[in-house]
Amino acid sequence: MSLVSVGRLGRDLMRNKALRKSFQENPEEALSKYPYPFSPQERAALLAGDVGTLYRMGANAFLMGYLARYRIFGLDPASYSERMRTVDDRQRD
Amino acid sequence: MATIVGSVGVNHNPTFPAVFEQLGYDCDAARLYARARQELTSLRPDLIVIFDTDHCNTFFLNNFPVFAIGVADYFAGPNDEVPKLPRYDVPSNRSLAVHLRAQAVNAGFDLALVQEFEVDHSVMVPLHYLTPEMRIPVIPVFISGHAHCIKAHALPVPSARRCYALGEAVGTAIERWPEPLRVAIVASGAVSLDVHGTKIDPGAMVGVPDPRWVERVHQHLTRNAISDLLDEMTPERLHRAGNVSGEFLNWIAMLGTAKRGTPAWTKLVTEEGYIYAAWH
Repeated sequence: MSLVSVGRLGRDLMRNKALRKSFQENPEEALSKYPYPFSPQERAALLAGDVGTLYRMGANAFLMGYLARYRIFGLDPASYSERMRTVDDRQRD
Repeated sequence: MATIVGSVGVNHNPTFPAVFEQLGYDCDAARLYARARQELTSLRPDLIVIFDTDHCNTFFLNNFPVFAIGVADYFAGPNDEVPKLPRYDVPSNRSLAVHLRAQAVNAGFDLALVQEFEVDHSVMVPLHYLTPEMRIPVIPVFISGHAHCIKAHALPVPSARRCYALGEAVGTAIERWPEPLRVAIVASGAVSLDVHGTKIDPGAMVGVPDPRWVERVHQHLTRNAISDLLDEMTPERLHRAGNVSGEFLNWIAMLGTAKRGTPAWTKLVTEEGYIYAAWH
């Protein structure tokens, strides 16, 4: 399940400053070199900073938050908050 | 025989070390943590059992137990990035942890065995303020209380009654330990809080979506209405209270370890989603 990779990326960005810097400088290249797999949909959503879609797909929100904390994929707290707040998760399965 | 001498419940806000350094240790939150430390110190504990919820730092999505216990001579932390929080080695008590695990498993609680582990801010922020000398051995018991996934079945949160019963089993096991240890119980976590989820505040990464639940929980604690609390702490209520509101299950387990009546001290911080409390 590659959504685990989205979570792994979040935790790795928190723990690995060199990786963090590479994603901040050139996210597309860094993502292509990241050793864990992503589906084409996940890759597109990551590069677009579309955390709402990733969350709907099943990504772990806590770990995704590191993307905004470290300003990856164009995210910051304001844009992250705006995108997550649009998700209606009342009908969780 | 070991004896449970009291309990302390706190939050584990990872911004506190930097905030306290910036605002000074006479700010409200620092004073509350200082009071919590006084409460714990007055219990004169020989050992602490802390109920905690990990943030994917001791465990990860590829291996995530609902209940677990740390079994080690020492553990270290924090292993996440917490500004201004030093890294510590914390002494533990392997023999007692082995005993607690065996007794809990015999009572029907399958605690995962965790050895050679590190912990994150959810253990280390409380210990940093409650026992900064890190001389008192600490045994962590982990409860998976976070709901960070829209697919609720992916990370199921145990029920409040199940966690209370876990606390009862741990409490019974402590009192069966033959050494005359004074054991304090610490619970780590918020009551209503959403972190990086769908109920965060505009422009922010966190929010307190259900302040009325914080007040309701505080009311139940001060009245020692634990049965009412367990009845009302449903999955639906926790969902409304935010994706980390299940951290209060750590408090529920703490309450189960010993029947201590009304708390000796509480402080309600509704706007932050927190309660501080101590039982003697």
